Amino acid sequence: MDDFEFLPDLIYSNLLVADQKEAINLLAELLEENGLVGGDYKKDVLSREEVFPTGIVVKSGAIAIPHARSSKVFGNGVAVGILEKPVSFHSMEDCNAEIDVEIIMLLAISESDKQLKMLQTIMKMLSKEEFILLLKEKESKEEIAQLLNSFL
Amino acid sequence: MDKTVVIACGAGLATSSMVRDRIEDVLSENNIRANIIQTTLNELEGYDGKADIFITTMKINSDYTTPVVHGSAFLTGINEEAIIEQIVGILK
Repeated sequence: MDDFEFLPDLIYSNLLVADQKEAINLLAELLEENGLVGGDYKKDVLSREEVFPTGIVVKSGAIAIPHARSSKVFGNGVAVGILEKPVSFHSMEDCNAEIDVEIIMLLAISESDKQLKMLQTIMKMLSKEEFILLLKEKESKEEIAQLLNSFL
Repeated sequence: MDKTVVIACGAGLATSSMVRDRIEDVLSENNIRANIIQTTLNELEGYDGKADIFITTMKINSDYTTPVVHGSAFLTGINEEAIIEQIVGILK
């Protein structure tokens, strides 16, 4: 499958949230509205986040990639939130450490048809030095989608 | 004989797939033939002693017989070279 791309409809720019729960709920709603996940997905993600957190410190800052194995995933996609103010996530590498995350990418991964290109693209972005800085400079959802898609 | 490489993350889904993608390149660049198994951290124990290396996305405290390497460098790009060297050292 090569038809993956980031969609403006799945992006929040300047997202202002109090905590990771609010962020995950809002991003899960975007995935829901686009038919990629069912209503229980947010619960699955939040409970998984408690056991296996997904915050990662990368070269240009910190990002979180919450996701869960769930029967409520109907398609592959990524909801992206560029945060106005960072929120705290626990670190994937060390679950006792807390990090302030500036970008959240909520992943929907269909188990029957895993979208490897989507995951490879995200990995390529994470290791790119100025990635978070570039994303934060963009104002509109369209510009953000365009930048993300340039990594495909 | 082919080596057995077990890659584990929380859900056995996203990050282990990302790490697997890089590990496949590293193995072929170094002419190491291996079977790669992707699993969850909870199921890692079942492979102890049977696999040649465990690569995990999370730091884990364990008394596994199989050597454990922490592979989050493949996601972040930070210190990737050192981790590759360590993995190749264990498998060669």
